[in-house]
Amino acid sequence: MIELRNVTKSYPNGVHALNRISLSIEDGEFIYIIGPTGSGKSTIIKILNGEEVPDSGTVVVDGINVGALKHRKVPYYRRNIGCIFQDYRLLPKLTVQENIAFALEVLGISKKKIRKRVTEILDLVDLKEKARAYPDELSGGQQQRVTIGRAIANKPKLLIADEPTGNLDPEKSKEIMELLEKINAMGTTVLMVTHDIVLVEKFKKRTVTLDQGFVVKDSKKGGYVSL
Amino acid sequence: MKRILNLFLYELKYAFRGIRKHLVLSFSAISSMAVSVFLIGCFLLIGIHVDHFAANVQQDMQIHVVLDSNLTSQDEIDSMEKKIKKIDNVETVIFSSKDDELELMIREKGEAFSQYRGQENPLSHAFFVVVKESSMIEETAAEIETLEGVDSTAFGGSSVTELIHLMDVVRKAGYVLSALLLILSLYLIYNTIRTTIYSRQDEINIMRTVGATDSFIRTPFEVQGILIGLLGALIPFLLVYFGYPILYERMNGVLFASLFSLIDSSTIRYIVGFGMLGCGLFVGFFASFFAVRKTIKAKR
Ligand SMILES: Nc1ncnc2c1ncn2[C@@H]1O[C@H](COP(=O)(O)OP(=O)(O)OP(=O)(O)O)[C@@H](O)[C@H]1O
Ligand SMILES: [Mg+2]
Repeated sequence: MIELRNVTKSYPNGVHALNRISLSIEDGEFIYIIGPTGSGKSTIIKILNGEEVPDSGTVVVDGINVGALKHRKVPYYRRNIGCIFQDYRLLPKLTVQENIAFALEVLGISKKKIRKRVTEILDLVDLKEKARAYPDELSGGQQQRVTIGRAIANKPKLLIADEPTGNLDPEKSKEIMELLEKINAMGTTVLMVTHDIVLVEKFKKRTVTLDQGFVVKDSKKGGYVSL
Repeated sequence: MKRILNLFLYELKYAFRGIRKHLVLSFSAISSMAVSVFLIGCFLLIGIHVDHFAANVQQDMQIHVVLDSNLTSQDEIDSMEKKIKKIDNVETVIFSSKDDELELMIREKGEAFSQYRGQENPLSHAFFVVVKESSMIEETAAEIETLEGVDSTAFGGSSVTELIHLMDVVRKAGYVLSALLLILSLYLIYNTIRTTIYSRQDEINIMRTVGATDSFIRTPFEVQGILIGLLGALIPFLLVYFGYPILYERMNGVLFASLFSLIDSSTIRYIVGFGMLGCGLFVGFFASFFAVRKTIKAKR
């Protein structure tokens, strides 16, 4: 599903965010990416969804060379991957249900089908009573769940999540993890960036550890092992 | 196909929202647009009327050619007519006998002249010459006057030509002002759309990250511009559509004199009314098209 080969990325300010990263992720896998702040986790996400282009190396997702995509083709590529952003990226002037619907409207799906799917999603992320609220009327955790809902609305093959439990209490984090596992069980590959070591220990998965832009550990056995 | 229709309906929805969310800006753009389009419509109204008057006057422009009083035989009259017809700018030549001339005089100057009816008619035979190009009438009259056997020439309406001249200046000035107003309103909508785009740059980037194509993002802004243009044109359109017939009635269909007959309401509704709507559409479309293309710089 995902194939990173010698991916290097530095930002215009000279920060080397990623250094010769090679990573191979199979279809249907659930994988964590962990590491200290500034280690390049979000940069991997941005490279995977086509927002940033690697300086060198190749990124292939589901057979598509993401770095080589034309500007015009990028939105079409994104429709097959769900992305949960660390900073939510909700449309401020749309309500919760409109935000989720938006990701389906861009596909040209009929109103009726969208309404049905949005109801399902709201149920799934437990936001039914907030359907008509605007993002700025929600708590961080609620906004996070809207982002998750929007990311999975189109039943993507790959879900990439940047700190999806970052603003949730342990109880809600557990619920989100169970939700992500459920999505994973339905065949979606899940790549999740997290800080939450407790979660990583509890829901054991393959874990890749980044530090200063290098992969310092890739444990298929799971669990977090300190360096 | 269904998919494209759905996409368009969603784009339309976001266009209307855009207007609603920027109501004050949209409203001021619409009202300035209305003023500009109204003025353009007025200039158009003046312009086509000047054309219309000029055509009317042109029909009425003829030279009265009075022959020498000793020129009386039919042969002399015929050869005179031929000579006049040879002149370039002459369209038709109509003979007016001295009796006809007297009747005209009586009609114009009063019954006092009726005493000359019969043998005592002191007038000469004459021609009425209709010219092809009214602006050349003076030269043509002078040329006819040089012909032997012509006593004098006169043409009505040198004051009319001056008036037409003046109106022509007004019309040209109107076209120049219309062009300026057109540019102004283009800039107005361009700026309105640009401002809304700037204030929503973050949203535009978010839309792209959740799979919206550039055209899905752009179309609502373009539709918004077209709507501003059309709504702005609608107000002056209604004014002309319902106002002109009232004006026409009040003026009894003429301006000052019957020579300046006003154009009937249905023609004006058609030309000026739809001209203004077309103007709004054109301005709205082009302004927003360029604003969108120049301003939306989505990230990858
Ligand atoms: N747009 C940018 N321009 C310049 N530098 C950037 C940019 N984005 C990230 N960086 C830098 O690149 C490095 C990696 O950033 P990244 O966001 O990938 O870290 P992260 O692992 O996600 O951190 P966190 O856990 O705090 O989210 C950091 O040093 C950061 O300052
Ligand atoms: Mg991050």
